[in-house]
Order: sequence, then C-alpha cells, then structure tokens
Amino acid sequence: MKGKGVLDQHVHPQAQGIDAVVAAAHELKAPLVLINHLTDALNDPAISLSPSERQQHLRRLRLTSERMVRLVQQLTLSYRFETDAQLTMAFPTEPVSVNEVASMALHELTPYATEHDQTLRLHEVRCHHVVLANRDVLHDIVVNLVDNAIRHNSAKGVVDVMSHCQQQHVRLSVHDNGAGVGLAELHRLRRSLGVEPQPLSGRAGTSGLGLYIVGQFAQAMGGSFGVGRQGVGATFFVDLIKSWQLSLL
Amino acid sequence: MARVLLVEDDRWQAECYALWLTQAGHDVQVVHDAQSALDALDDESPHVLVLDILLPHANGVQLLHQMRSYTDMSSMAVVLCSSTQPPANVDLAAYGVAAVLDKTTLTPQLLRQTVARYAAT
Repeated sequence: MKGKGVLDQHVHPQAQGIDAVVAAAHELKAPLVLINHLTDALNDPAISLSPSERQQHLRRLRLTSERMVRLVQQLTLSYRFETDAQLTMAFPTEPVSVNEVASMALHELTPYATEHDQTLRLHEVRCHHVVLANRDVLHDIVVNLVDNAIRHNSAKGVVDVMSHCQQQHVRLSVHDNGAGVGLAELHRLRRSLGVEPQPLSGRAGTSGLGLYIVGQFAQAMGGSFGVGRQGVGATFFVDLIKSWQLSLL
Repeated sequence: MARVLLVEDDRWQAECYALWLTQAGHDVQVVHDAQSALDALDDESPHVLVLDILLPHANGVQLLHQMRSYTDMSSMAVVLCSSTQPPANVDLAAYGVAAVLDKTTLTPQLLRQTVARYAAT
C-alpha cells in the first residue's frame, strides 16, 4: 500500500462555526444508548444469557464506557483549545517516536478491535520517525483515527496504521476498508473538514466530531490533517513536523 | 413467531436487538446497510421490518422510498427504531410505518411488544 493517496487533501482546522454541544451530544448518545441496552439485557428476567453471552455483554459495557471516557477527555481538551488561545502557544512538544506512540495506542485498542472482529496492523519501518509533538495528544490522535476506522470498517476488516517520512514532516496514516470517500465528498471535506464536524454519508452515526478533534490537535502541534482516497475504503492522515534531533545521532 | 428483518448499522446494537427478539421466539435476520436490506427483502418476506434511520449511504426513509417503488409492502409492518427523529415532512404512514421507537428510551420489553403487536396484524 502506498503511503500517499491518489487524491490526498489537507484540511485546516479553525476554531469557528462549530456547534460543539450538538455534535458532542450526538457522539455521546450512541454509546450511552448501547450501555443502556446491554444493561437491560443483563437485568431483564425474560432474557436468558449463556455464560459466554453474559461475559460478552460485560466486556462490551466496559469497552463502551472506556470509549466514552476517552471521548469526554478529548472533548475537554478540544474545548480548552477552542477557548484558550494561550494553551496552544504554551503547548509542550518534544521529539516523539511515531511508531512507539502508535504501537501503544494500538495495544490499548486491541481489545476493542477484537470485540469488533477487526485486526489492527502497524507497519513498522526501518527508519525511526521522530516528530515534534506532545506525546499524549499524538496518542489521542492515533486512538481517534483507529477508533473511527474500527467502527466504520467492513466486517472482519483490517485497520492499517503506517508512517513514512516526507521532506519536512512525517505522515501518519490510518486506512480502513469501510465505506469509501467519494470524489464529491472529498472536495466537500477539503473545504470544511476540520472547520466544523462533518458527517460522512457512507459512515452513519457519526457527526465527524472525532475527525474534527484530530484536525484541531494536529494543528496545535504545527501539523495538518487530511483525507486520502485510494481504492477501497478511506485513509485519514496527519502530517507532523519532523524532528531532526535524533536523526543526527 | 414472526419473520423480522432488522436493519441496524451498529453491529453491537444489532446483536442486542436480535437477541431480544430471538429469545421472544422470532426469526430475525440482521443486515447493516440499505443495499443489504433490499437484497434481503428479495429473498425473504418479513412480517416486520425494524429499521434504523441513520444508515450508511442511504438513510432509512430513503430506503423505504426505494422499497415502495418495487416491493409489495402491504403485508409488512415497518417499525422505525432510531435515536434520531424522523423527518417531519415525510408521511411515514404512506411508507407503511406502523410505529416509531426512540432508542434512547427503548427497552427489551417495548421492542418485543411492538414487534409482537404488528406481527399479529
């Protein structure tokens, strides 16, 4: 798989035009409803669950609540970026290994992916991709992109995470084989993804808030966010500033 | 027992509803998008269609519009089940929608009762 898509487009987040409350409510409603339903099934005397079904319900309850906690934490940070311009200025960055952070994020998301019957693959490369980034925020970016890919991938799908060096930056890409991004939609996204949450027609049930947050976080580290179109599925990527510090060693 | 076609894009949600209805004795087929729903309607003749509104590519109401153009829906009850309000400017009854369920307040008992009610008519 090539790192650069046929029609890659960068998008630039701006802190305007977002109805954050509506988008956040929409994003939180689906997991809350699921938690309700899983709990109902565990408590309803008319429903008889086998031990394995009971374990599955409990696993999904835990995974869904963990996902909600992540989302709320990211929304909190996103809100701080929106309202506190000084936060971005004072944002601490350091040389960070993209592969190391991606590996940790994938390890964390493996139980969620497995429960969705999805496989996560990290394509490690020989050269060490070191970027100037905030480790926690970069971790949030990877988690968000992979979470998005897991939820919208085809059944028994594979999510590929890869990075490769470009001249001044390192590109971290997450590819899935779910509903693709059509040409018209790609152009629409180029104009507005990152400016405000943008639902994708082939990916129901999402307001696009997670992708908006990715764009916002990438920009806070001097990077950018984009969407690519290559064959089946969709590729979302962030370009981060390359650190030359370790490459001199 | 009724044949139920369940159209729900969230797989975990779909498995929940399928379990609730299967344990109530219904024969449940699950699909996750509009095109698969159309294919399933060709193969099966469900008594009740339980349909989410937010689906990939085509939403539930668009699916109903497509279905009406080439499928005899007279013997099938449609139950919309979504956390999104259906569009106010659409005559749902004309599409055979018998009930609208709000996922945010849905319980296993309510879904079972609703399907049983419309399966019997």
